[in-house]
Amino acid sequence: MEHQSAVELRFAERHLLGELSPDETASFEAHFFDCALCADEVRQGAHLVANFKAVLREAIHEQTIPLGACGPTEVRLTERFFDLTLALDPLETARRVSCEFHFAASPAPLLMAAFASDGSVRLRLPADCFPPGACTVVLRDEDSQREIGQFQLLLAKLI
Amino acid sequence: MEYQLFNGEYVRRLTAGDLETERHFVAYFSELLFIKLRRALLSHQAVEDVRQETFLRVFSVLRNKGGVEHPEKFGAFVNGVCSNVLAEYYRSSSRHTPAHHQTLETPDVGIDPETGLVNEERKHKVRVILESLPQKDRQILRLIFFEELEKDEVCRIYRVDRDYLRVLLHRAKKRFRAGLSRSQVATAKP
Repeated sequence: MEHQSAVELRFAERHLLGELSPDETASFEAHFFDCALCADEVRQGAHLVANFKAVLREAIHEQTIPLGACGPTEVRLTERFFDLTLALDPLETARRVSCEFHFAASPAPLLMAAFASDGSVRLRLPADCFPPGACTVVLRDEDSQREIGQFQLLLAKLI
Repeated sequence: MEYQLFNGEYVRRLTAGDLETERHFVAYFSELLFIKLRRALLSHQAVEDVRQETFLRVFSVLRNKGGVEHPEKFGAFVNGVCSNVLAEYYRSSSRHTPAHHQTLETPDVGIDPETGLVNEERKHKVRVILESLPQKDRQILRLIFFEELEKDEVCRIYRVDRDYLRVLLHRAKKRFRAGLSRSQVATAKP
C-alpha cells in the first residue's frame, strides 16, 4: 500500500471505525507498522477514542429508583449523562417497555423505548434533555399499553 | 516527521542489544501491536500473550540470524511475526476448545484493556474538544464509540453519510494531537 493512497482513502479513520475489509486491514497494518506518519495517525486515533470513552464513562451518574418509593426521589444532574434503573414488580412479565417522562416544567413529555430485564428497566439519559423540577415517569408494556410502574423524580441540576 | 523509522543501523543496534534501541523498539511497537491485536482477540490476557510472544520471536530472529533481510521494512517484519503468532494462537485455541463452542475465548469482565491508552492530559484534551463540538457531532461520536451503535444506523438518525463520520474523526484527531505535549504525541526516533 502506498502512503499517499492510505491518506487519500482515509484508511486511518476507516481502520478506527472498523470499516476495512480483512484484506484491507491486513494491507494497512503492513503499511502502518513501517510508516511513521500512518502509525502516528492510528495511535492518535486509538488514544482519542480510548480517552473519549473514559471521559464519557466518568460522566455517568448512576441511580436506582425502587418501585413504590415514598415521595419523589431526587436525581442530581451533575454530569453529562446519568443512568437510571427503575425497579419493576418482580412478577412483571413485560419485555418491551415504553417510558414516558412528564415534566412539571414542560408540557411536552419525553418518550423512550426500552427493554426490561432482571426485574428492572435501565436507561442511560442525557442530562441536557431533562429540565429541572418534578418529573413523573410512567412505564408501560409496549405491546398492551398496560401501565407497569410509576415513579416520581425531582430533577436537580447542580453545576 | 519522517515516513521511514527503520534502517540497517537501527536493526544492527537492536541485534547487538543496545539498551536505548531496545527500549524504543518495545515502546514503539507495544501500542501498535495492542491496536492490531485488540481487534482480533477478546481477552486482554490473550492480547498480552501474543504481544509478548511476538517480541520474543523478533529478538530470537535478530539474535540467531544476525538481523533481517530488509531492515528498511523492519516494521512490516514485526507485523508479519505478530500475524504468524496470532494464527498459531487461533490454531492452538481451536485444538483445545470443544467443537461445540462458538468462540475461542471469553471477553474479560471488569477489565478495560484500553486503560494503558488513557491518562489525565489526554482526557482533559478530549473534554475540551467535546465542549467545542456541535451537539450533533458529540452525539454521533458518543453513539458510535460509547454506545457502539451500528454506523449505518447513526448515519440514518443524523442524516449524514459515512464520509461525514471519517471527516469528523479526522478533525477531532487533528485537534487532539495539536494540544498534547510532545511526549504524548509520537515516539521519537532513537
